[in-house]
Amino acid sequence: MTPMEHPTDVTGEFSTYSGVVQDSTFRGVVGSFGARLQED
Amino acid sequence: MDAGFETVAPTYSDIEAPKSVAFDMNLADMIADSTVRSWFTLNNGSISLNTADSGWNDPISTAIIVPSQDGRLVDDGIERNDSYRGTYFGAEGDFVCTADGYKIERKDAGDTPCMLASGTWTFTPADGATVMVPDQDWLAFGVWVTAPDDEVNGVHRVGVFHESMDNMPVADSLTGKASYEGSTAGVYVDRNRSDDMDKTGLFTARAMLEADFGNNSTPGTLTGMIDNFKDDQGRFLGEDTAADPNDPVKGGDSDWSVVLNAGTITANTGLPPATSVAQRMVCRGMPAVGAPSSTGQETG
Repeated sequence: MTPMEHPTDVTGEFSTYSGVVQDSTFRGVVGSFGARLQED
Repeated sequence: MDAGFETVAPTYSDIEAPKSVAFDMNLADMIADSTVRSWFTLNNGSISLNTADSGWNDPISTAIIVPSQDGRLVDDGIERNDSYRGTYFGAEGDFVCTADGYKIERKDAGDTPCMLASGTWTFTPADGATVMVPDQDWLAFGVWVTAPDDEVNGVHRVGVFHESMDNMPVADSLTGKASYEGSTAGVYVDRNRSDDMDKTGLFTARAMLEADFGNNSTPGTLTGMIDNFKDDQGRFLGEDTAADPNDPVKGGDSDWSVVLNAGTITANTGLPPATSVAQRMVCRGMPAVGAPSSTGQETG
């Protein structure tokens, strides 16, 4: 099975943080991504 | 209150401008979506258009433009093999009626373009006819941040978005593994630093994903990592000390990275909703993960 038979791209979102939302201890990241198939 | 919001929404995309393509036998092969591909598949040089049940909201009908004939509306009495020059998705060609009694109607009084209102027609593109084909393989993603006028007591809102050309194959047919790499963008808040300097802003980073498509009895999984976090000036994020630099090239544990926990690839959709994968994660170089966030995150 060749790589091109797989989805060529993947998109999504991710987040990670410590502390409690809506107080001053929030620390972390919120983001989205787009990734493409890598052919070996 | 949150009056007077200011919103920024950096977006990243590799979408390219539509291209002018000859309307010939090769055109359909360029189209990723199977339904759209059928709209441009020539059979003996023509396309069969069944307009019997279509309406003004139908994508085919709205793509057809037949100028009124000498300023008059051709509305009925059309006979088999009558031909009308017009355009189909912008490509010039001839619409030919396949039976007696079909109609060409005008949407509203005063409109020049008309619609093939009933029956089956064929469209034959003219020599040299072209169609503007949108990019068939693109990604787009980004983040939005809304800041209140009151930076101290107001509520910041953060959300993310992502979209791409929908050209995934059916997962049932997939086996083996594949790796993906791309970019990310988002917002960071870095507090409780050793230098007591709170930092926040936009970031870009690198995304690396590994998909195992499983087999007939075992569902596949998607795992991955986000790393190489940089601020909007291109500087690596995270604590940066001589003993523990945040530059991933230099080693150490201060550089941020987010490890995505495995998500199950579903049989019908090909891949799991990315949010279900991304919200379960562990990270390195950052404090332990709290509760997952959601689109529309609010922070103090």
